[in-house]
Amino acid sequence: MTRHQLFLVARQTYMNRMKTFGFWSVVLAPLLILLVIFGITFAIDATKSDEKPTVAIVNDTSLMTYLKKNKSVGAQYTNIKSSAKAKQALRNDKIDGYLTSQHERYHLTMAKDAESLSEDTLQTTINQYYMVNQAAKLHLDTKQLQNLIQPPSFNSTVYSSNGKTSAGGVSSNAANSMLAGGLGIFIFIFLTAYVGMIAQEIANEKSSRIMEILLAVTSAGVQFFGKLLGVAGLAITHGLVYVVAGVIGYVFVPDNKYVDMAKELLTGVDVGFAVMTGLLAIVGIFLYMILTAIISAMINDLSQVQQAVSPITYMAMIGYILTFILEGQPHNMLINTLSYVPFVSQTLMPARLGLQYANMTDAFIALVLEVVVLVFLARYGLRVYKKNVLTYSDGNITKAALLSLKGLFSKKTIDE
Amino acid sequence: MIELKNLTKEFGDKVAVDNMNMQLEAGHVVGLIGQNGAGKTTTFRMMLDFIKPTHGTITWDNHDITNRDRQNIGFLPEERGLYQKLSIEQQVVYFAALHGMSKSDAKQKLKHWMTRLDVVGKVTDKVQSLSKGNAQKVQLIATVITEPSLLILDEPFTGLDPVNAQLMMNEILRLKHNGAMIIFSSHNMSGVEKLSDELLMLKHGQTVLSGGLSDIRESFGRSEIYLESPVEDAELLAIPGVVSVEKEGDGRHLKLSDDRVGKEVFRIVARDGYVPVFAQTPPTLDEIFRREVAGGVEND
Repeated sequence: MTRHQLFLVARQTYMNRMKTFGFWSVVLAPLLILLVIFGITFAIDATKSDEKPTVAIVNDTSLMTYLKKNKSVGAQYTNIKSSAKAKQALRNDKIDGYLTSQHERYHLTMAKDAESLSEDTLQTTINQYYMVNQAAKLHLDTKQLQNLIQPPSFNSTVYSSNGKTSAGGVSSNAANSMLAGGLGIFIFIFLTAYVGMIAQEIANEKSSRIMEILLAVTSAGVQFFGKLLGVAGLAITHGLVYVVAGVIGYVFVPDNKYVDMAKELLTGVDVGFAVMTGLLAIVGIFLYMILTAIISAMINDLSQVQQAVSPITYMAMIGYILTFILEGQPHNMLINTLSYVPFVSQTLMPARLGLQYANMTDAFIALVLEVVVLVFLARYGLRVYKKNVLTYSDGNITKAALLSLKGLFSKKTIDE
Repeated sequence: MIELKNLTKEFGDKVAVDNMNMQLEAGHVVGLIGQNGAGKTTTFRMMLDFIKPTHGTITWDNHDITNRDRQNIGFLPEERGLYQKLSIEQQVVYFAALHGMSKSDAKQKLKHWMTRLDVVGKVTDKVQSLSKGNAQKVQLIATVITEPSLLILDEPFTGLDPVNAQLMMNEILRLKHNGAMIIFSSHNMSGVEKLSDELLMLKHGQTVLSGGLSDIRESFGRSEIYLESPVEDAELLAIPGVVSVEKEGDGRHLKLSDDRVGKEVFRIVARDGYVPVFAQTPPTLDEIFRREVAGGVEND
């Protein structure tokens, strides 16, 4: 294998795809969707009505005074003597709704087309009003009331099996598991995109017999690893585009509430967790790429690409789907075991790690297993690739796969 | 020099190539002929290291063929293949780069080759927009632009129109004169006769004939006569040793059981002291092929 030829094949694969509309549509589609969602949300926010609803308080000046002082509900208030008059005013569109109070029971009636009003905020405000009134009846002063309603302090830490405690708590767990979930989607999108791309590349060269010309001057190793490097380069470029887009979003849209939410989420993520998850994901994607290259060598023509790629995509879905049923099952033996298994661990282990169902040692074991399988697959996969890439069978990929599996450990059959 | 020594390839019980021996020297052309399945493509595949021989060796100047040697091989497969979505230039430059040629050299030579082979279109045209004939020319350019030392051509004339076939033939001869070692397979016997210095005729993997073209033909004796004469067919067939008489163009074609019969035929057709055409020749390559390989059946 010459390094220069390896570079040439990788560059050719990379540059050819970079110039296609297909590649950029895969890269930019999620960004465009985000941009459209952002744009629509912004447009809705910008065009929403600022008018406050007018709510009549029926015969309760004390409540009206309290509500007027407390501006959180975002409504205008007016006093009306009776429910009948309030109904009449509502019918005549003079008010948007009215609030009645009788024997400590409160009832809000709103017109169907009224300006929106947060019922939860109104209820909270009425609760406060009720509490203050009750405190007054019980002759409690302000301090006593505060002591009564002050919740006790509660914190949590997570004790892992190696005796270390880590930053626990809802925010850290939520951030880690949200990152794991997000990565699960991200990895799945990557896998489907690049698995298909590798299959197309190899099937195209094989079915058009260009492969024979290429192998006459290079070697199966140069073609196999060159293609993989080229497509890996595309995947890395894809990831970098998102990083750059994220940084641009972070820098140029600093006051946006969505950016603030993302910032808040990211600050809760452990660095160790992020690095381990990233490594598991990258090695996992490379594993799938190699597997696809091996299977694609068995394709006879482009019509078989889908047939070859589908089982790989289904396999990638296993880990992804299991992450959804993971929560609440920290000791499920099947899930725990599968989280170490390469081809599944890239999504399942980060999810277990995020939920604190596994620790860094578990993740490290999963990573080592991934790397071992990666090396094995690259080494023996090349033999299978070499055996199949110039063999044109009767069209049955399954048969070719079984024959390859049989010949995987046999040096004698590989060149035949 | 390329040397194939005791080369054998077995696929299970089937022997695809059986104990083949061949030498290919610089400036020489070897034609490999045989029916489909005779072992021609398998031989090429072993030479290109796509498959390993079961027995025997292939050497280039007395050493195994290395990756560096492979950069000096130009290969034209039987089923042609080009990247349909690449331009002519991108395509040829990529193949040339794999052979170790610089981008600028390849671009410059491509222009020269486009003119030389009269390719219609620009170097920036995509292959999918080319006519079949022009695509074939581009394929030829991609194979020979690096002036390879060893050229392996699997059925180079298949699918070519007469003009392109002639172009191909001219290029093979030019490369031969420049010192390239060339081996090719073909069903086109006239092409083989015109190009080959040596022949290897294969049947079910076995070499049934090998050697220089004229030596092979002469080894069959001068058992064919083409003549133009008013002598009747019946009189010719009455000569002992004349096997058949068939009309061919303006004259007739006689097959003899023994080349010594030719003298008797000549005596009879020239008895008036004049015969416009009398040519006693060895059998044509086509005829030899039919006799030795196809068992008298016309080959495709």
